[in-house]
Amino acid sequence: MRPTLLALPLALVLAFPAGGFDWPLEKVVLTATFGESRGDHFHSGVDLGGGEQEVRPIAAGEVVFSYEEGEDRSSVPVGLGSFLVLEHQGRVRSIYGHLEAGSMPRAEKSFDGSKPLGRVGATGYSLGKHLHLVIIDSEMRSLINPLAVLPPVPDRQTPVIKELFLRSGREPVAVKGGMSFRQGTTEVLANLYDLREDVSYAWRMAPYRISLYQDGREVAGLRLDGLHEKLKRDGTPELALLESDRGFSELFESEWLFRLGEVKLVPGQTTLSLFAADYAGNESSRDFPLTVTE
Amino acid sequence: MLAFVLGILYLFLFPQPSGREGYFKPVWSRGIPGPQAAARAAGQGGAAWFKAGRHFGFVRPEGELQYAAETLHGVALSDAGFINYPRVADNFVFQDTGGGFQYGVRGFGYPLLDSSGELLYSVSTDLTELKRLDRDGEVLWSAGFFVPITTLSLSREECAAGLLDGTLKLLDARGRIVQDFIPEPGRIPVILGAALTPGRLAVLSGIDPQRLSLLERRGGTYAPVAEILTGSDLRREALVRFTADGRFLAYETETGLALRELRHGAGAPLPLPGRLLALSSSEDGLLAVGARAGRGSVLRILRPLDSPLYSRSLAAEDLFLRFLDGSLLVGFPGRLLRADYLEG
Repeated sequence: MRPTLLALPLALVLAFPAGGFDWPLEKVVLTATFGESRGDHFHSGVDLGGGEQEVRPIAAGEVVFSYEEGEDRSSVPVGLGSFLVLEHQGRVRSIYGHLEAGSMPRAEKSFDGSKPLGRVGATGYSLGKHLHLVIIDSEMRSLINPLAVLPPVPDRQTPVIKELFLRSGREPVAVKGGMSFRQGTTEVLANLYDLREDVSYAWRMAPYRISLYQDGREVAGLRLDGLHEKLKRDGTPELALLESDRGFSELFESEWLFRLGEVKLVPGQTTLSLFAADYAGNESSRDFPLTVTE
Repeated sequence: MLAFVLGILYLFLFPQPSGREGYFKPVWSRGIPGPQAAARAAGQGGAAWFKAGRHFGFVRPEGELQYAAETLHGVALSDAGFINYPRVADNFVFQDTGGGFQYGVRGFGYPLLDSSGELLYSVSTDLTELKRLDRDGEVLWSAGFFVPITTLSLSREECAAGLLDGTLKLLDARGRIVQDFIPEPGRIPVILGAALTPGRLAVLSGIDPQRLSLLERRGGTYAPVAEILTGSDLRREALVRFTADGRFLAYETETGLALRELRHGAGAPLPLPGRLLALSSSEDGLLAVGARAGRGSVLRILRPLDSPLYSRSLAAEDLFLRFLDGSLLVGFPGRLLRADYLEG
């Protein structure tokens, strides 16, 4: 079992029997991961490149909803482009977005996996051909990270930990060797990301797990394994991480700058350590020693 | 092109009555895009928005074209102006009915305007988040859901967001959830359509069976007053709309349209030859329906629950209909007509 699956809530694992789902594309090229920042909201699924291909259901399923760009009327402006939603066993739903216009067999009401449900396209809000795949657990009322329930994807790239920042006032300050910070409670932010396996340049994606240690003791951490709805103080709903209940603005300072939590600095020497892992189990860590003054 | 235009004009000029004697008296017809009016001050003179194939614009009652443009990827239209946005947009530019710049804001996803044009919303690209923005781009509120929004109906004070999981969320003007309406789910829960009008809410939902729920405001909440099994198996967004005279509810079915009188509950199907393309109703009780028919379309005028008054086949595959002060605007690729419907 992949170590990351151990981290999933038990109910989530039980809802998805091993081997129940398969990738919807023959050639899987992961170009964006679950939980990444999309400016003002979480990326609710994974993006799959790999060029023009047929899209197959992740498991046998029944059509719940579909939209064909240029054909269907919609009261909602549809950034997903042409898309299809299937319902599978166990009240799990999958969404296939940005399908090629006209590639969906609209007369079909169910798919057993033997026939494609469309082709990879670039309809809707899309900079190039890719498939946006979303998996929903209706029972738990949550979006789940497709990488948690689909077969492992080969990946040897380790996450990159660029910088650590401390913020006690308005602006975050990068932690560099020999720097001193004043005692007190301070927020910790981390600039880090994972890399794509198949390209030589730095195509960034979100890691799966981030932990912050202070002198060897874990003081903060997060996992991008699922999103659920929570009510904010003002009574409006927002999506938040399943595991830590943190909303978008509580997690992201900017696209690759994660707000990890707070640490208490006391006078003397202390070491903050960052740990990041991706879904294939590749891990990185980096120490940031600092001096704390009164 | 000329033959097509003459053909269309012929149909309107020499109508063949169907059912009760009714006919169109063309008021004007113009090519779209065509010569636009000289720039005039924003808000000067009651131009109405229209669509004509890939084009949209604003036209004055006497037929003077105030503005016309091709839709980039999508367009949010309102009485006060529009936002014409490209496929990948990172800002929303609001222009008035003459095309003049009014304001621009940074935006994620795609924009949406209420009918007055005063309220600006954005919907995230994955359809899970609805935001209301002000003219400085400040987010007044945001509402995020764990499933995509499948249908939206906006009013001045409320917003009904139908979700993929079969829940309809009613939000107040500050984005707070004031009511969750969960219709009987059927075998597969999903919200397929919704219509919100002061004091009334209609929701089309579920697969196997598909049902229409009619709710009325009682006290602070909407309470179900009627439920209809539609017998349909639609698996896409379906149109649900209250008529302008407030007497009827129209909703899409697998075979066309169905109409229900709100006071007594009488109903009748309105079979259509193909997919519903457009629907508009007038305050004096007329309903105009456009539907696909083969490689063209059909336009029907009727009084709900009465026999059709007018039916005409058209060569255009796309159709836009809008009643305006007793006249009907008819838009199709390349042309916009205004015609008065007369009986007698």
